[in-house]
Amino acid sequence: MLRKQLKAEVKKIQKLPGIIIVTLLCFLFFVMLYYQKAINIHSGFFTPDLLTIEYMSSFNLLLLSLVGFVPISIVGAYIGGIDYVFNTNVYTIGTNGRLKSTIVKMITLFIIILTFICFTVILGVVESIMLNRIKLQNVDWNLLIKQVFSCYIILSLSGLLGFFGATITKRVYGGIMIGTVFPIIFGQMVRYTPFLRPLTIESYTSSIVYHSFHNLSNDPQIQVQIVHRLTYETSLFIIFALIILFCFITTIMVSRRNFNA
Amino acid sequence: MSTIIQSNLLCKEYKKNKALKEVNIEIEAGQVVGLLGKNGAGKTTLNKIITGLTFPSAGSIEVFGKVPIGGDKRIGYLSENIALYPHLSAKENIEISLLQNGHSPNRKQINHILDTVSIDNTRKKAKDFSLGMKRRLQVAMTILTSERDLLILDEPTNGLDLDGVMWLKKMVSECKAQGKTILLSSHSIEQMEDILTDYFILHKGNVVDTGKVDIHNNDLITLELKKEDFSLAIQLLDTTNSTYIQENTDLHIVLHHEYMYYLQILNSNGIYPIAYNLKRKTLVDRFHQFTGGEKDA
Repeated sequence: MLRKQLKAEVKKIQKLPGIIIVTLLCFLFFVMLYYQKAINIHSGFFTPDLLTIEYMSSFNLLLLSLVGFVPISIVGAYIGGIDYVFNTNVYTIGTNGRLKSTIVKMITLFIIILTFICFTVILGVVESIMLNRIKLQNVDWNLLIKQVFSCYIILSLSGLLGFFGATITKRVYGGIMIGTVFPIIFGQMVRYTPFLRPLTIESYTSSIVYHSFHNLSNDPQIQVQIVHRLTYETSLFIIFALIILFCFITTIMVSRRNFNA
Repeated sequence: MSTIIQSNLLCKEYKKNKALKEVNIEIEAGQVVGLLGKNGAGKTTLNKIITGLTFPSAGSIEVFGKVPIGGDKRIGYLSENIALYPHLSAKENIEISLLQNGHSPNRKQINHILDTVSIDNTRKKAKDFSLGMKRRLQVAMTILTSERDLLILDEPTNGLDLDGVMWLKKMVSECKAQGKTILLSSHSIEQMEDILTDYFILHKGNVVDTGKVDIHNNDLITLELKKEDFSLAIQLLDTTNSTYIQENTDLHIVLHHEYMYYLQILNSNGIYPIAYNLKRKTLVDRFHQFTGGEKDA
């Protein structure tokens, strides 16, 4: 039964021009960086010797962890806001109820994030195979799983921010603003107000990235800067707490809201 | 018959605007109820409360014996505004609706639904449909994608041409024949009057009139009385809880019984009208009588 609800949620957004453009741009970004690292000899990033399966998967996951908050929070905003935009809450809330429909939407978001991550890892494998760098025995699977998990947690928070923003404002653009634009602006502002730095999500995600992607440190082009020195576990706990908080606030808000029709 | 909807002193307030004021309604299974009122009378608010999309500010309501909070698949709600996924085709819209209702949609089932609402171009995006076609697709998503026991149709004729209205009446009549309970809101009642069994007239958030849509209830008898008989006649009508309007020497009585019943009561007390006139009163007449001449509520 839940499978059908999830399928319905995916069908709602899969042909939206905004989603298609974001997915396409994301894919092009990955391909472009691969081209610069593996093919373009004049590029400052040209390091084909490094590009093993483990490296490419980690590299793509790092990229997704750092810049994936933009496409994922847009996806979150569309999932959260689509029924408000098209006045279709009459079906979604009418059929599934407030609590179930919110949970279904959140699960849909988490599944889409997992799909993005799996696609990224597979893309890394394919890119390495294209360079004939297949050395499976050298892959540190434990580290790769840790990186997948870290990336998943970071993107879940970004996606939920977009979802939360769209639900609270009843608009997709509200979600995009809160999930994408606001963190960027706030991130720039705290450069001049360092005491506000612990309030940025970036301070916790950068710590997770720092502790998860150390296998990329031999790449001269990659420098992970840690903004807030916290342990991996502490950062993870804070991000988890924020995810649960956003899930809770959104659910409470939807369960008490008066919907338009 | 079992009661499907029952409300008690139902109120809804939006900031300083009272949309519903102590509304009491009772709707039984199998009834086709017309919820009539001008724009802003509170019809949509009442519909949204019944569906569980909106919560009342005060009072109580039960639908199928429970407080409505949404998520009841037995209730189908056709909203007055267009509610479709415009970037998707008619086929995909139906597919989503079927999935949401827990079905496993197949091509045959989807095509059958689209045939029923006379939509041929299944690949055309909903945003490119005419208003009438959008309405048909919405009707399909509300009525045909799941087994409903209660249908709430809010201004269902919006955007439909005459053929569309006839088609909708046929659909509603079929649902009526299947024993479904239907609550139909409209500010253009004349189009739907003949399929209604009961009605409520909402005016400025109040239920100002309710009753059965049958000839007796819609009929009116006008009696021309002698001046000296007037006060006694009114006393007698009051004792029988009759609804009447006094106008000069005329007394207009709304017939809740056969007209002879009223004449016999008057005659047995020595009142013999100079003349009487029977007039069929349509729902539109009643609507205007109770809502006055103002344009909007």
